[in-house]
Amino acid sequence: MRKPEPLPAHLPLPGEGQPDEYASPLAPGSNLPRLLLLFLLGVAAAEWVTAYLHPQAGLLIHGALLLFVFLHATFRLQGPAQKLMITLGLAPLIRLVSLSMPLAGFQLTYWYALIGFPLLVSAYLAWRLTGFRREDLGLALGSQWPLQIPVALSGLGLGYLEYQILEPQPLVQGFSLAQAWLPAAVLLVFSGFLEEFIFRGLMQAAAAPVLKRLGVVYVSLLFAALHIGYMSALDLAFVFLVGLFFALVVARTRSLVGVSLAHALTNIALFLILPFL
Amino acid sequence: MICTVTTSTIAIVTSAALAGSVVLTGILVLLALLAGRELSCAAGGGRFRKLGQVLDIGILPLTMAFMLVVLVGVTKILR
Repeated sequence: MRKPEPLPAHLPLPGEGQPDEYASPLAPGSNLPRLLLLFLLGVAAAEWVTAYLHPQAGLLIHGALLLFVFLHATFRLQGPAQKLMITLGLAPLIRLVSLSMPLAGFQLTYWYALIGFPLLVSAYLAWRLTGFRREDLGLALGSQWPLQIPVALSGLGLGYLEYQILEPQPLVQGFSLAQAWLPAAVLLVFSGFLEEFIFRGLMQAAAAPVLKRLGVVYVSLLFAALHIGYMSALDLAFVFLVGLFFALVVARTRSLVGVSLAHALTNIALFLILPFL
Repeated sequence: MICTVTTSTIAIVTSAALAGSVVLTGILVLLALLAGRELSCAAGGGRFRKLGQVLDIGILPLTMAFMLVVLVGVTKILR
């Protein structure tokens, strides 16, 4: 009897190993910068339409963007540009999944888990398809691990600043460990880790070889664009700067640990602590 | 903020009367992705096969959302 063949470490992408059409995407004549700009504007427009005009229309734009990036990645791109386009598909997918969930009957705390789990599966599939190593995505403590402690603690200050901007409703009825531990754990995994894994892990790792230093700015802009739904220009600017800070930390330390904890602490402070002080 | 990539817009939409039609729009996108996957399987060939794998990134989470929609609907009927 034949033994089943083991799964490959990563699935080879179409055209992998062949010359890359966009090996120098910033070179004159390349369409990729224009395409990436259009995609960013498309996501921002879809978010704006969803929040201010017509949610269904916004969702359809997100759907069209998702199909476009996947088709373009498969048939028109190769190598690093293809990997970048595949990971960018996670941006419209976040909104598609979050709005397609029947959340009305569930407590707010569980929304993050209900939306986050399918997205975690998607992010894993994107990781498998792009073939990044764990170290590429910052899934390691990194050589500069002591730096992760102040980075993580910065989340408390960021949470305070954001509370001044948004003043959101708390996720729990009162401030106690018994009530807060489960929402805190959900926020740690499904907002802290998941969103950092998608943006500062997958997208940033894919953007670095294509956009060089502009990669962190591009991913931070995309991250900010997905916050248009908060309907606050000040919050958009704040989120962009925080995204940029997190991106630079990950680029320097090559670890998601500090920023994931900071991201989670920001939200824990914002939704579980500060509303009761 | 930051959390909240996942929940930024949905608080408005979920509480509104249009929640059902928004969910329906998501299902339409899922159908488009599934149709794309079927076509890519039927076409065969390296790139089409890979297209199927890429589309799975979108199909899987939207299928989970659809299954939850069905589950919630069935639960409502049974109550």
